[in-house]
Amino acid sequence: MPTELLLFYALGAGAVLSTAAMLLPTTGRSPIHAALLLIVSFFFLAGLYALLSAHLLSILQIIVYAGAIMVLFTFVIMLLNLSPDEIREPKISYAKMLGGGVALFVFGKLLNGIGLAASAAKAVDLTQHDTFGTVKEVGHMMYSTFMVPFELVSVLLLVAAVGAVVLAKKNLAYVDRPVPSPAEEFKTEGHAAGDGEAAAGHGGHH
Amino acid sequence: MTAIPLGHILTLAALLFSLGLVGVLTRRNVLIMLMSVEVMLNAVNLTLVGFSRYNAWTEGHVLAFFIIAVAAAEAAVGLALVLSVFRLKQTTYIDDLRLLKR
Amino acid sequence: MLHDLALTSPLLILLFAALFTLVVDPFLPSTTEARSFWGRFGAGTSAMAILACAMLWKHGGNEMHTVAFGYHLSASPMSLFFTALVAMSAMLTHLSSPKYLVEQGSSYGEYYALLHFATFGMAVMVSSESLLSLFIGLEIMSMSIYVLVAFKRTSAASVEAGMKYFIMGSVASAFLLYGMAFLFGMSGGTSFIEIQRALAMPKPGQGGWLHLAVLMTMAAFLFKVAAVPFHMWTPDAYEGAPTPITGFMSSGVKVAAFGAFLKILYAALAGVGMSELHLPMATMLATFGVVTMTVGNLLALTQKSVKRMLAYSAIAHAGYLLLGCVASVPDGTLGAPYAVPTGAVPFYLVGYAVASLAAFAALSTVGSGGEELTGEAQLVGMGRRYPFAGAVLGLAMISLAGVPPTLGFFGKLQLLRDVLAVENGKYLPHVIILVLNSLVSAYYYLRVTVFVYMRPEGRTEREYVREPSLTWAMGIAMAALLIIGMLPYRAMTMAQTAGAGVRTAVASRHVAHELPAKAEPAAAAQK
Repeated sequence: MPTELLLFYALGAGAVLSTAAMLLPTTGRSPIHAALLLIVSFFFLAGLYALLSAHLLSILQIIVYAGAIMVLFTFVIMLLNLSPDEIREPKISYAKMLGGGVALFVFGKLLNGIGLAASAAKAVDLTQHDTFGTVKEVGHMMYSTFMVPFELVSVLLLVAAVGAVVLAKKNLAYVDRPVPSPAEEFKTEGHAAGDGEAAAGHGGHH
Repeated sequence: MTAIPLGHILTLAALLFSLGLVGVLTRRNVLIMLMSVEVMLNAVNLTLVGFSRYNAWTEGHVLAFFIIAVAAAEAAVGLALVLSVFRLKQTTYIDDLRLLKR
Repeated sequence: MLHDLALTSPLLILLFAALFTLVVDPFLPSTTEARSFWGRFGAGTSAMAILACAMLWKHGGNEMHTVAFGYHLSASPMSLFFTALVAMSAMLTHLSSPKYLVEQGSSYGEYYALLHFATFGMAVMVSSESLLSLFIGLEIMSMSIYVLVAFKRTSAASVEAGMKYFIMGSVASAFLLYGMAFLFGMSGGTSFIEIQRALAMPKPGQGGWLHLAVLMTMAAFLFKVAAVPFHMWTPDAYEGAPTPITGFMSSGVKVAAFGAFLKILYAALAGVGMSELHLPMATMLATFGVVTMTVGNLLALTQKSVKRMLAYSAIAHAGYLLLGCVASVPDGTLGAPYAVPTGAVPFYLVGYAVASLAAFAALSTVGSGGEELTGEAQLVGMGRRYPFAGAVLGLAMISLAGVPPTLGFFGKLQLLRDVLAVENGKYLPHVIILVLNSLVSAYYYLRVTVFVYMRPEGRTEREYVREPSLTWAMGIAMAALLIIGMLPYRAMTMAQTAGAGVRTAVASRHVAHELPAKAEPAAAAQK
């Protein structure tokens, strides 16, 4: 068996096993364990991307997914400071069994749909195309053909940032209640500033 | 040429996608449900990378890049929602969110 | 470039309004006046977007140039019609929000910015010519809506609703993306033209992928429009959200989702005609529609809260619209296997959006001082104490029920006619079920009207929220219902044009150009 294929199976098995471990109620019971297992799974996926010549994506997978998104997850889990008795023993219910059945059905459908066509496919030889998947080539395409979606994604990230601040900040410009009189407003402003919330980046009414 | 058959890549992605779906449908902790959605998005990325590798289409990598950005946005808003739910109800379990059920 | 900017001007107006609100709001004092200024500003900019759509519609004769920014966005009649419709929903939502938010204690400037962003996302969705920009538009809309649903930060119900809606929506997004990935695998691109071309000349053995792509995309949109197997948390989201946002979700989000769905169905997937997809897609849609309307109506019957009842009625209307999606006619320029939707769905959406916006605007006059009072019993006496709001609510209910001289009636009539015309009445049983459903729904809609005009017997005086911009919102909605209801033909013709314009002129030309090449699939292999 060629090394490439062997590596593929090893990385794939790693990704699947760590994801499965994250979902199992035993190993992935507490959110922090699940998050760490998910990071492991993302590293395996990064390896798979590298194996499939997606160099830029492989790095982004580590920097953005494992590095930024999952750190955000672990940060929030720490912030919530869940005590051990808040983490529940999983129960088996009909709803869950139904959910598992649905997922199994979807998987069956997927296998059925994928199988036939994919076996006939022949890969393009990349030896003539050695810039494939590099920063230069992906970047070039991103800023030419995909300029509009790129700009749209920037709007999306702005929306997400504004939304996250609106939802998660403890006190907005004034504490959540009907518009106060000027005197009251002054008080609550002082309170908000004293809370050390300035880091949250809300361009408040100071 | 690559020795990895496209079918195997797509099947691996399908397996990951289904695992993510299992997580959303059977786990009750909101944080883990969000992580499961991330797994599903990763499976999509793997599919795109596989297709791109087989046809030398760079477009697939660009799409995967956009999906990573969307995943980041989703994680930010989702976790902010988890925080604000936790602030009001001290729970991260979806079963406890039954205020609206009649 | 300048041309592209002109074609996307409605979108740009909405985007700049959002950014302006976001940047300027911190410098305004946090007073009620400042908030109602944002409400009026939002209504004004939305009206400008509608005006831009109207101008583009009028000067859209030069069809060659309707595709903007390299096949990502377009100003086709379909795009313009739906963009104007979402901007109209946004306008009324902006007007009905300020006072409600002050009463509920969460009046922040970010609300109006997010509302603009959501509208921008919807406009991108319905103006897109590629799956990628459609998806990103959908995400912009969804992210803003999740936050807006949870915007009453101190209300557990609101935040819960946001959380549930978020999880449901992000799973739907994952499904849509997976479907997109398979379409990409077949065509090497995401623009509707490329997909259409790939589907017209499929390579051997790709049937399975196509099958998966269609199923996944359909599942995602059934999620988004809250069709039946995926409707579980919709009523929660509708009930927990601030009332103006509930109105926006049942009008704007539905309009955008159906606009995008029609584009995917007819401009991308069914480029070769729905019947040639080796999938009974049209039959599946019709079946889902019938099940959805029946379940929605039956559940709506038992609701005591008007807000929740309207949530179930929104599910029922999604069912009617899904059935309407199968109503198609052969493409005017390309001929037989290529189909375009009739004006049924766009026209129905006009009536539905206006009526539900009117209903929710009238409902937001009832709650005051942080309470939500939307139970049926609480509406008693409304027709007497606040006759205008009562009349608007009553008229909206009559239109939603589809009673003859209203807009809702004409919408339903055209939908029935167009669905019946498909393949010589193939969908006759579905149409009969639709009519029966309408009769059932008339009961719960008219019950609300009865409560509104019931004599208040020894009840305490109830305070109603009265505010100029809210009155404007109700007035505009009522005027639209009455005027379009009396002269529906012009709107019907416009809807027809919109449906026929689902494929941009450029796309039609591409397809027409490649049709002769259908004989040699080898030509398709080159990307």
